[in-house]
Amino acid sequence: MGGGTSSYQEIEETDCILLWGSNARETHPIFFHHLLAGLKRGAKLYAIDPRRTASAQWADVWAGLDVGTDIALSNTMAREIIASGLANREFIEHATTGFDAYRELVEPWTLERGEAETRVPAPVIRDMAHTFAAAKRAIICWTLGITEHHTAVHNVLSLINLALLTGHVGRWGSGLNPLRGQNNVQGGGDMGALPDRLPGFQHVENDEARAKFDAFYGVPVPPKKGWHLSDMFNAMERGDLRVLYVIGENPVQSEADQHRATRLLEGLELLVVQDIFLTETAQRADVVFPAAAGAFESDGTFTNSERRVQRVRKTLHPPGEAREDLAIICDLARKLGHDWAPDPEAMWNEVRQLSPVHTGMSYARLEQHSGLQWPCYDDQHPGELFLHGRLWERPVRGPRAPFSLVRHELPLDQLNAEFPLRLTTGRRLAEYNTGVQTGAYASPTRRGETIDLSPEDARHLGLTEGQSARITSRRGAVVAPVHIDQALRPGLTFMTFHFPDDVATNMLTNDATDPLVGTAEFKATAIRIEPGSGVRDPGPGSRDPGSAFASAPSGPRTPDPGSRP
Amino acid sequence: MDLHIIGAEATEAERAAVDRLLGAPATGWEGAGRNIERDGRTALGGRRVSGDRDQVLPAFHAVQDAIGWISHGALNYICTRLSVPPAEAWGVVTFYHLLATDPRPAAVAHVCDDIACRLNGAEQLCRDLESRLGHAVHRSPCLGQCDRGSAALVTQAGLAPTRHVVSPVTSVDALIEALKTTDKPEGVSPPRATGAKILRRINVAEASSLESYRKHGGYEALKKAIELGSAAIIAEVSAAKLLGRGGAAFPTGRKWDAVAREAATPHYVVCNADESEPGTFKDRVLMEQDPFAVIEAMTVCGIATGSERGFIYIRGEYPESEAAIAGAIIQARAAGLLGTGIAGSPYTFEIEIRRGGGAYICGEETALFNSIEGKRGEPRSKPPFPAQYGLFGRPTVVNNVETLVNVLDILLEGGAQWAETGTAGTTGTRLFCLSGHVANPGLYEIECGHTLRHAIELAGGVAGGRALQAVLLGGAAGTFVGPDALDMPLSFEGARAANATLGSGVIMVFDETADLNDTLARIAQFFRDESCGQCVPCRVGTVRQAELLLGRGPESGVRGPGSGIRGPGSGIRGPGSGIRGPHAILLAELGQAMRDASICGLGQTAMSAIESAFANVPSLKGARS
Repeated sequence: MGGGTSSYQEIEETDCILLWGSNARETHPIFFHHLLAGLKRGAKLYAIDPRRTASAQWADVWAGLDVGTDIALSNTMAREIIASGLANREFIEHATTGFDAYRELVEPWTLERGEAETRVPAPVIRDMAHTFAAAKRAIICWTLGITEHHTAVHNVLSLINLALLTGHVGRWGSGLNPLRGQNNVQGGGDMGALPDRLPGFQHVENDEARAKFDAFYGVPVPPKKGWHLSDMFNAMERGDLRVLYVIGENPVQSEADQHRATRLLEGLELLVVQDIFLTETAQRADVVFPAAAGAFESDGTFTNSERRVQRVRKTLHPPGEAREDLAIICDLARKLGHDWAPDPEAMWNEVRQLSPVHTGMSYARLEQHSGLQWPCYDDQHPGELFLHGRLWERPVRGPRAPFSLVRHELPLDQLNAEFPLRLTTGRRLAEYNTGVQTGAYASPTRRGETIDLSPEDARHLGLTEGQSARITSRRGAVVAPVHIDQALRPGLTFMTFHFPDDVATNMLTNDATDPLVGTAEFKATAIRIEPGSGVRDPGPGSRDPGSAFASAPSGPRTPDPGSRP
Repeated sequence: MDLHIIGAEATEAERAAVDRLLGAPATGWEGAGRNIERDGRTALGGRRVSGDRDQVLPAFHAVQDAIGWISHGALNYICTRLSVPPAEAWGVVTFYHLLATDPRPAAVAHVCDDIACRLNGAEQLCRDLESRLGHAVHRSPCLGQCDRGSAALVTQAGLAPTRHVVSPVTSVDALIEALKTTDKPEGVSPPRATGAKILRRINVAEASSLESYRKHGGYEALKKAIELGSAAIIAEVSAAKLLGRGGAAFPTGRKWDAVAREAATPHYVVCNADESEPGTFKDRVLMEQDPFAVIEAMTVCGIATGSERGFIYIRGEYPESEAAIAGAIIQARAAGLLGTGIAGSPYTFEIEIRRGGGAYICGEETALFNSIEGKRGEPRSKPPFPAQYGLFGRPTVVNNVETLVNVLDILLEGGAQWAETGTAGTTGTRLFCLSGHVANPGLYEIECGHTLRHAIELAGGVAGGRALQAVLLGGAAGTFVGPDALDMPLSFEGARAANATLGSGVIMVFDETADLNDTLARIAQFFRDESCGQCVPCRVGTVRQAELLLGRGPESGVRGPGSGIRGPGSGIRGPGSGIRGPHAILLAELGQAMRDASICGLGQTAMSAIESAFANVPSLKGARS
């Protein structure tokens, strides 16, 4: 099952936090308040990030590793923990498998080698390893700095290894927590919006699980896993995928290698988009379903990063022709010959019948308990504050947790003389992804897209604050104004992709993906920078000057002002 | 944290001033130059840096002292050093009168134009100085020199900054001369301080000598305290029925007991020496003339309450007090009377001085905590009370200077014996600050229960034999009484029976020639200026009250009998005067709203003196038409 193992309250009561590849201060500000409560109580915070972010400013120690050296760092920490006798031998023997091979794998990762590969000073790695291992309770949190690499899964597994090595999982105040980017990303995965899973993380290739769904719906569920997003684009390329139904996504602007994404989406036989705004993707669609806003125009549930399912209630009627997602989907089902009732509670009870981890969560109980954390197996089950407590039971209930043998691999987009600078991308406090949900609101901190450079690089390139620069990668080029940022070191540059109408950052990024899950390597692009012309790069979007979509208006994205409340 | 530092950079001199306080910055992240070899891959931060947040105010003082004002560049540097967001630091620096955020001359005089000095012609003095010196003169609320006449605090910024009080200011020219020199002014007269108990060493022992202090009985109480231990000390203080002398009259024994019992650690002792109530100067005299007593009493309090660290928060307008206390701390530490194992005992106690920045509200105990913590000096909501959640969120005992000093005699005499003096409800003696139109202004220690008449007679009666118009008890937050109240006993119960307050011990006398309307307008201005602005009733109420008393109310143009207030000297008609005019009603309603709804005592008492004046003073009652 995929989800954070800890409750928010645990981050307030833990003793050591590794915030790895996450600028949660800006990107998960609500979660960060829980984290701050932990700091106030005395927890030590380590921020592992190539940039000295706003989150790193709050940290006791910032470790500024090279982009894409996370496994090198975690393996070095592991080696140091083992060599110093700080590994939790009892837990390892009791609850894990594969430790000997793991120890062998990390053995060469001395502090010296770790420093050479990650560039984090050896004493910093040592301190981090010792504090984490010796802490009574410790939590690892991560976000896209770990997962937006071609080694995404391996990166996560290497962090899991650290938790297994020290026994920092399955206990109150110790755990592993990917922070979710939206209020309901967790819920999407829980409901089976994953290529290989049915609701409740039941594997689609598990005959027993599938049989339950077959019987319930009276139709057979295809017995093999589907495509993840990157697979879908590859299938479009091959012509195997010709019809796409997009709900609440804007892939034209959010996918790596935007040229390709746009070309493929435009080449589909049928593109259906369901969204609250007429996004760049929706503008290319054959059919657009105007949708209600989930947060206040529809009934249902959200599930947050601590696996807590919470009720959400409709407070406003959606404007104009916009309708609730459920109503749209049920209408579509009816056209396809299935008479589903657009009743959120009935639909939820269906989930409860099919997904054991949700069975105990009736609407009445969700209301009574202000939400429940899965798994929640029956009407009496209080829900689980943290996962994997079974690993501490004697004997262990269920399978033991395996160490994973994961090796350090550099990013695919390598630096060379032609592309000597590393571009990493990320998000800012006031913005959300491509700006669909945030661009319409004024923010005093909004400064538009910039290419952020270290003072040293800016000097070297002869660029000054606000000057226009042309940024070129192996895939494309964009023009953006320069912002000089003390948080960057020479060789490291940063952009967001919040303002795709102005600067299409994802023209630059590498769509090489992790073969295991398909996440693209947004975090590591090789680029070069030259003083720009000062004229906005027309960009590949204007290849067809006759297209109505050729040149998107610049400035913040503004939905039709009359259309929303 | 989340530092968004833009623009201005500190000058070398500004950096140096901050670095003298904080030490040189270790890395570029903390303000040293950017050095990517050293700083590019790691940084310490977080609590290690923000844990020094309480250095914000000392850092501002350091720059103010060295440069004379605090530029945006200096502020940015302090923020970088201490990891404080500049917007927050700006909120702090602009909170305090004595910190300037605009360029100023190096030498500046803060001249008191408050109620006592006004009786000595401060208004004219200020006008003359302003016309001669311009930006080098700033009007100040009460400087706590009411026994000496008009007063000024002269500050000279520079590498060897000086801060002196000139009191009395004999002439405009004399003050201009004082601004030209960094020398300590001559001719500051010793205080007139008369008393048998807690004032007994003043003008007798040598204030700056530990040896002399000991010769006059000093540090005997500490010896006793070490023998007794926490519980027995608290038992004596409780038996003495000592009530807090800062104005709130809370039983000291109960306060100490509550802190001693708290399980959370560490505990702190805070000595509230932010004596800012207009007309009050008792703590200044104690600190300047008997500093070791203050130190010793804090140490006793530390032993009693299980605290190892004490802070004494001295108002920024008291440079001489600060110097005296600082000198006493150094000597006490050298003699093993502070530090680890004080006087050979297992106890540890250290004292740190914190200088206020010029803000009356910081005398409110929780505002004082916030000020020490480097925040705006805004009071906190209570509960939680300081005994549970005080300084740095820890159990804290906070006492006024005079309260603490009393404890020494309580230990030496025994609590029950000590309680023999005074009245049943108000034991011991009290210090009264006699000022205004009395023949001999000064500090008088009077056994509780003597009458107001007795106090005024001790000070030689009304100056020049003139008739008494009114007496202000307890300062700006206190109450006016008329000549009919002279037989009121000076005890908490006596004052309460007369619907008055003794507050911080102010007895300010106004003879028949005083312009009370001017005094009331100044009091209203005082509260307007000193309201911290945190809660609406006080922030708005004090402004509206001042407008009405200054004759700038919403309908101040209205003329005619009974139609309202026309400004100072023009016959203010208040709620007590029986006038049915709209302004009188408005003033009464403002007072009620502030009393009912303000967070702290400032707003709750901002109307007290004004309302009582209209109610009790015959000359103002006589203004009714």
